[in-house]
Amino acid sequence: MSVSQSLIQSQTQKVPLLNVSGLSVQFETQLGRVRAADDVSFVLFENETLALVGETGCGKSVVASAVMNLLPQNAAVNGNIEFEGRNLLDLGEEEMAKVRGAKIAIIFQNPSLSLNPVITIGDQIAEMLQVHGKAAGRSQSIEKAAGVLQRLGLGERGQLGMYPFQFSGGMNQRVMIASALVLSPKIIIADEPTKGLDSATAAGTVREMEKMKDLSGAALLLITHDPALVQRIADRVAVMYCGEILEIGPCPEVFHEPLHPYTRALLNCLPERGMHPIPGVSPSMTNPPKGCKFHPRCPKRRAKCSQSPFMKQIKANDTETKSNERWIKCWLY
Amino acid sequence: MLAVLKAEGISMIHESGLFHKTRREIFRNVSLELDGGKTIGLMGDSGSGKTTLARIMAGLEKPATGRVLFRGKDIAFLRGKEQGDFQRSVQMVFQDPEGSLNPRKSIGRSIHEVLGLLKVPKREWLERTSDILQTVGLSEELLCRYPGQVSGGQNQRIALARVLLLEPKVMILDEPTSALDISVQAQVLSLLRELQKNRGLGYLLVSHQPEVMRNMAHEVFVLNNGCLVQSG
Repeated sequence: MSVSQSLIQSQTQKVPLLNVSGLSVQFETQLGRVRAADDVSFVLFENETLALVGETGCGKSVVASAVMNLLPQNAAVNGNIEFEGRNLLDLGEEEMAKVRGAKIAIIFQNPSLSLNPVITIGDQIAEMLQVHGKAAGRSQSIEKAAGVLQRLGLGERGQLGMYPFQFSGGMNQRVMIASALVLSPKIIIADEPTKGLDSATAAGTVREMEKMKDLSGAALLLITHDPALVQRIADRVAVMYCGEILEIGPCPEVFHEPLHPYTRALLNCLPERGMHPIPGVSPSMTNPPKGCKFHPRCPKRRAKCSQSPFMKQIKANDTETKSNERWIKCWLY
Repeated sequence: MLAVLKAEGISMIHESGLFHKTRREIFRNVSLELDGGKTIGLMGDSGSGKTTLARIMAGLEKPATGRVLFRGKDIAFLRGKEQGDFQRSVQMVFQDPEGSLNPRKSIGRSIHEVLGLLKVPKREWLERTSDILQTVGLSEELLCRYPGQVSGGQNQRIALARVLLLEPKVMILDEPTSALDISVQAQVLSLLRELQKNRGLGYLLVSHQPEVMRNMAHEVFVLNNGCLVQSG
C-alpha cells in the first residue's frame, strides 16, 4: 500500500481532493541532474489547509508547479497527481487549461509581477470568467469581478478601472486572491503569499487569506517558509528538505512536539526559540547525500542513516502525539 | 568618553513633485548614540524612515537639519585621514544580499577588490581571504563562483566578509535578514552576535521583527509619527 493510500485510510472521516504520490521532478542542467522533488507523497483533503514548509530551494514551489502542470520543458516528471479520478500529469494542455483557474487556482509570490501591468484590475479578473465561459458578456463578467473584489474590500467602481501599479503591494495581493476566488475553485495553491512583503502588509495578507478560506470553502495548499503564517492558518503541515517530505502531521502537534530532527532544528531557528542555527549547509541538489538527506547535519545520526528511510505512520501513544495522523521519514521511529 | 557615532537632533524632509513641490517631514529632532559592544535596535512601520535614518548615520545621505558626529566631529566636515577613518570604521550591510554584490565579479574578485583598496600586499591576499572566509563560516570553493550562483545566506555572509576586512568599529545593519529564510536568518544573526563578542563591534540593527530585537538588541528605539521613542 502506498504512503498516500495509508494516509487516506488513517483519516477516514475526510474526503481526499488531491492525492500526490511518488512525485519526482528532475531537471537536466549544466551542473548536472537536479532532483528538485524526490518521491513526494501527500493528500489534500476537502476544506483543509495543508502547509508545505521548508527552506528556499527545497522544492516546495516545484511541487506546486507540478500540480498546475506549469513546469518548464526540461523537467522530467514522474509519479501520480490524482484529482477528480484523473492523473493531472496525463492531461493534455487543452484539458489542463480547463482545470487551471476553474478547479485549481494558484496565487503566485510576487503580486505586482503576476498581474498584467497594462490591463485594468477589473478586466483582469473578468477575463478569467470569459475564458472559462462563466459569464455571458463583458458587462456581466465585470459585475461578477466587482462582487468578488467587494468581498475583499476593493469593490469601489473607480478601483475596477485602475492598473496594478496604482495599487499597493497589499492591494495587489488582494487582487490575486480575488482572481483565485472568482471561479470558485476546489483547491487554491498559495505560493509564498507573504514573501517580500513588509510586516504590516504581510499581516494584512494573512487576514485576507483567512477571509478567503471562510468565503470559498476551498482546500488550501499553502507553500511558505514562514512558520508564523503556518501556525495561524494551517490545519496540517508537511515539512520538506532537499526535495523530500520528512514529516507530515497536524499543525499544533508538529509545532508543539516536532518529531523529525530536521523539523526540530528548523523550529529552533525561530527567534522566539533562541535562534539556534542548523549546523552545516544545505546539501547540493545535484549530488545529495546518500540515505537520509539530512543525516550529515543531524545531531542524532547513526550508521543506519546512510540508507534511505521510508515514510512511517506514528500511532497515538507512541510518543506524546495525540492523533494517528503523524507521518515521519526517519530511522529514529 | 566620546561615542563612536552620534546623531544630534537630525530631521529629514522629503520633497516631491516637479511643478507643485510637496514637503513631507519624515522624522524630526532624532538623537541616537552608537558605541562598540552594544546593539541598538531600530523599529518602525513601513515608510517611517528607518532606512533613511540608517543611511544618514552611515553618511550616505545628508540630514535636513542636525548633524552626525564621528568621535565628536561632524562627518560633513571630515577630510583626508579623518574621513578615511570614518569610512572604514562605519560600515553598512544592506537588506538585499545579492544586490549588494557586483553580479559580474566572482566572489573572490569582490573580496580581493577590498584588499586592493586597503593596499594589502598581493602576497597576503590568499591568507587574508581564507581567514575572513573562515570567520564568516564559508568554504574557499565559493571564491570562483558568482553572486547568482550561491544562496542568499551565503551572499549576505560574503557582504559581511567584505565589510569585516575593513575592521569597522560600528556596523549599520538595515534589515540584514529580512530576505532570508528562518534557518539562514539564525545563522547570520548568531554570526553577528559572535562577531560582536569577539571584536567588540557596535550595531545599529534595523528590523521589523520584535523577536529578533528581543534576541539581539540591548536597547530598542521606535520611529513613530516622525519621532524616535525608546521602547526598552
